[in-house]
Amino acid sequence: MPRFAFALLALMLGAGLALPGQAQQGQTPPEDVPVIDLGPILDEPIPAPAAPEAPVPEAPAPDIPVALPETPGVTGAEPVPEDELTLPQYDRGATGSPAGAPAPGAGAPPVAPPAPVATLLLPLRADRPTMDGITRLSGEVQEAGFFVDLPEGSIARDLVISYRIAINVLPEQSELRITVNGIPLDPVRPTAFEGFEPITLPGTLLQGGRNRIEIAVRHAHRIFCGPDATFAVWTEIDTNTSGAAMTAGDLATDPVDLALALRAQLAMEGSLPVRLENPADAELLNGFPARLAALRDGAPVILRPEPVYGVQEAGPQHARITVLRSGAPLAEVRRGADGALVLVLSTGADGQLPDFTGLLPLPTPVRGNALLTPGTTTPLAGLIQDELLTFNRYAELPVEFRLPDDWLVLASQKALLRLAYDFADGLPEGALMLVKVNDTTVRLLPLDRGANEARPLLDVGFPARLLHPGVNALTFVAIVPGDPPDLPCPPIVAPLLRIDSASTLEVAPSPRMAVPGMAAVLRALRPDQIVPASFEAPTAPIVPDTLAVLGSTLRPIAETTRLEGASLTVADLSAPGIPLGGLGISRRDLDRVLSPPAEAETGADTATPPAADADTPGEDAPGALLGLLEDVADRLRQLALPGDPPLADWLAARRGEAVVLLPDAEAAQDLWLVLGAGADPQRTSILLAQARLSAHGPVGRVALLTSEGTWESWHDRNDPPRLFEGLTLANFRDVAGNYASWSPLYFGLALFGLTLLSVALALIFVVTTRGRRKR
Amino acid sequence: MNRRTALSRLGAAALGAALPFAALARDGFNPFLAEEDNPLAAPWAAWKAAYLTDDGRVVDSLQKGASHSESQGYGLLLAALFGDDAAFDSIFAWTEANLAIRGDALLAWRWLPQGSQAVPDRNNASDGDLFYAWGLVLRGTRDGAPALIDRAGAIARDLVATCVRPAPDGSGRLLFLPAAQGFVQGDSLVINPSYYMPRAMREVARATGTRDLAVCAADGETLMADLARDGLIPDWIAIGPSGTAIPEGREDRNGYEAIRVPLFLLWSGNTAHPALMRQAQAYRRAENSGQASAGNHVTVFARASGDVIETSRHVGYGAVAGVVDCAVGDRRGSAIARYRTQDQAYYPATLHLMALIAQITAAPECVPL
Repeated sequence: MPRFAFALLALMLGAGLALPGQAQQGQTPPEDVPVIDLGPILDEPIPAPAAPEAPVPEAPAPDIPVALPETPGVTGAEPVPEDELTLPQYDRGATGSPAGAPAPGAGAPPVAPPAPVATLLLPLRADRPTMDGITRLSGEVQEAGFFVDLPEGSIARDLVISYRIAINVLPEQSELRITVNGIPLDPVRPTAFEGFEPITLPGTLLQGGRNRIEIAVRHAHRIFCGPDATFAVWTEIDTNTSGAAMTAGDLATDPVDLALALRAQLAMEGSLPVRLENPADAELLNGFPARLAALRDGAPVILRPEPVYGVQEAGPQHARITVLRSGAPLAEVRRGADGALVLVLSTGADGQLPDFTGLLPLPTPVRGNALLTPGTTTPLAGLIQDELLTFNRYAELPVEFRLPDDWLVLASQKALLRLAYDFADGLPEGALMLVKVNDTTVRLLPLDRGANEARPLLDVGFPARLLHPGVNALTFVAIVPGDPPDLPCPPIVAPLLRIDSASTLEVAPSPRMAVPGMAAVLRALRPDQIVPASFEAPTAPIVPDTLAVLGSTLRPIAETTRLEGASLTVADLSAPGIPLGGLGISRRDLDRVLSPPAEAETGADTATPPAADADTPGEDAPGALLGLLEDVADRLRQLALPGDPPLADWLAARRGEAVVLLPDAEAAQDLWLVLGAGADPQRTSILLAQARLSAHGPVGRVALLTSEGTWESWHDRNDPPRLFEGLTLANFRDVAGNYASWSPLYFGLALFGLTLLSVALALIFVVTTRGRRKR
Repeated sequence: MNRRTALSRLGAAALGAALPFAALARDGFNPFLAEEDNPLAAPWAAWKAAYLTDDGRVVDSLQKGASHSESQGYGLLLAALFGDDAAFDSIFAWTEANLAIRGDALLAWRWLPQGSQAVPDRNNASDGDLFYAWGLVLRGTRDGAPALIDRAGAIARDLVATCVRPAPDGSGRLLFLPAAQGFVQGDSLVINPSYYMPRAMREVARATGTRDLAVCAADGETLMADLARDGLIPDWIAIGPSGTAIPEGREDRNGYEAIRVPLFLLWSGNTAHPALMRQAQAYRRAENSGQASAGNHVTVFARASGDVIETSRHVGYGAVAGVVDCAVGDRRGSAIARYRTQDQAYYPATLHLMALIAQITAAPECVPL
């Protein structure tokens, strides 16, 4: 090597240094070589050549912001030892031998380490999807159905079931039974107490297309047996981290696989990355969450903008959307450098998105509650999806159904449940079943005797006024004590209670009447009818965030008709123009209700003027008299208009995170959603969407979302029922009954007035005709 | 604001916000990359955090933590492009103090952190010198700092004096040798085509009046066009009186060296250059045959067959492939991976950043998908 280096150096010194001049002379290129015009460069002024002995920069002038250090070893550079020269070369391969090692080619070529195979998890989907993707199987025995779609012709690497169990579960007497496409697998003893853990099963169980997965759990409580123990044992399946593990590159760049990749991405991160060549195009995607709703079975679809030129901080993505600016509109599926399937949308010259209809699955409506037609006898089988039975010592078996929005019974009409049921023999003393209608118990039935007796259909009558227009719940609650309660339950092999779906329900018909309320409008809302309070005024981020989430969660409900003109205006507390006047409250009332507790207390302290001692009841006679009069007035008001107190009073005792308002009973299609500062956009949106299908959802004029996630509704007792059909002899009694129930005092006064009028007319008749008779 | 900047801005204004990067200047100092909201601010910050020490040394961990004139030159150029004066000053200071120790204006090619002698020898690497001079020119032009231009001029003149030679094949071309010493084999000269960065050569030549450097750039482009007729550009090629050949001791490969050729050609605006086309075809063939994928980026091709010899997990190599493939095609959008320094060595990470710069400045339609 030293000799070689010396030889090179000698060659360079001997021959090379004279070459630049030759190059200048011989620079005319041959004719077949492309010639580049150097004129623009070479015409520029050429500075005088620097003296060859002074190549080192001088110290910078004071106005130059760069410090030019003294260059050591230049002016006084020692001669380079000729035998120590090396050639600049680098080892770039991943196996990287040390610099200065033998030149490439001296040995075997470096072999790159194998790249890890990127895995994509096609998530499990539940037959009964939940907003957060977690399905809880609660109680001693429970089961749930799931499915996963695979690309045709593909092979999954694994089937992964991600689960966890409650700490009270006794593993030795508990098991998970998984059935894949009808093939039962060996039971799994659950042990995942600390958090979600995967059960990895062979991917060969799966096939292209749809695969059915049934999961049945059997739990034993470590210590107890009974209704409390039932609550304490559960298994949760996380569908977002369960599913078919695939090799990421196996997905094709076609619409079918794009949908799978999008679903996998949403399950993995809960959001979908969006890259915009021009950030101003973000608003073009406003309708996308609603368009992509079908991918998530009702869970939110959140678009997450990210810069085109960012730094990768998380793992690889499975799918995303990229919007490019182009002269020609084009929608296509391509593969990104990270292997993700990318829906590339190139806007046209008009700046609008291209037609991408065929590239994304169409959004599907949410299955609504079955409609119960008043006046007809309806078998429960027509109202439910699953069999009504339980193996658990505490179970709620709900039958949720919908009554027409113009059905209204406030009086004493009856509804009738004709119930057929059976239960296990030998249930311990105290076992019973409650029949509830919208949380009101209407019948209590013992389950600790007569199990084997033949029972005729049991008529359970209840006041029809317990039902209301919209969604209602008939619930069968089984409560079976432990026997004994302080030992684990014996294995349960047969249902403890079964409700025969041939049982029937009949509800009295009503004239077409309704009280102003928000439920029907909420159910009929479409995503495009959700608007911000102001397009111009700046709002807190919570508003656009909520709007974005609502777009995908508030999916249309099947068999509902769009209400033209309906709207849900989303605002935060700072939004101008929230119409509260018609509700009789002020902005201050709303601020207090929706403010976090500590802030609300402070606000109340500052807002409330110092109490006047003289007003304290009992401290003097005028004060006591005033209090008494107010109490009497309240009682009279309650008699005149039974129901909720004035809204300000109703709100005074409550706190919440968000509120849905129907500000004007005459404009019943205009709803507002006002968000408190602490409201979570996803939680609020999910709970509002779920509530549309629940018997406990928002109704009336105001509905408050509490911190427990429940809705409390307020009805304006001043709103009289409205009749949407002509008053006839046939419906007179029912109509009158509704009005009488709405306001007994007003109805009594009206009757009294009619009576007085009748008496007056009779007197007039008698007086005017008596003289004539005398004559 | 100089004329080019003004024209660029006028162009951007005329196009409106619709094409935010399309109107960037195609050559010279790019003001958009030097502004606070430049799109590559985050990648540049990540690059500095990963490879630049506080005292201005750019560390190449795959070379046992060494620094070299190439890494210092790349770092100085990037700092100048991004208008990062602090980074520029530190890199400049460290380099001047530790590598500018030859008897001329060029830089010793390597600095080792271990051992008794940090710079074992004083041979140079001409690409490192070139990028270093380019960085000085950009900063000096921007700030009107003649001292920096002078320093660049000294480097350019010494590059011409020591590394520019007439081709022995009678073509009349000037060749750009990889170093002052060690690349003459008998009557042949050995060159590394990836040491040619035409844009850098022209801009340095223009700013310093080093005419031969610009000639060298033009000759290099024609030379690579000739080489591309027979296949991919080799990492090393010997040019002798009877033509070109793979040098003794080298393999007939298009690998870690030559990967820079299409990148630098693209960055220089030569989107229709045959070498670019040839490389893009090879990348596409590798992808279609399954030899390249999201986790396997081609780093070494067999020149003759075009077969893939080696791949790497480092996405920077894939970024070069992505931008090259897009630049010669007719589809908008490219498969350039998101920038990262995690699990990526200095060299691919630097190529990755350069690929993004080349995309923004020379192929704006190739927005990463």
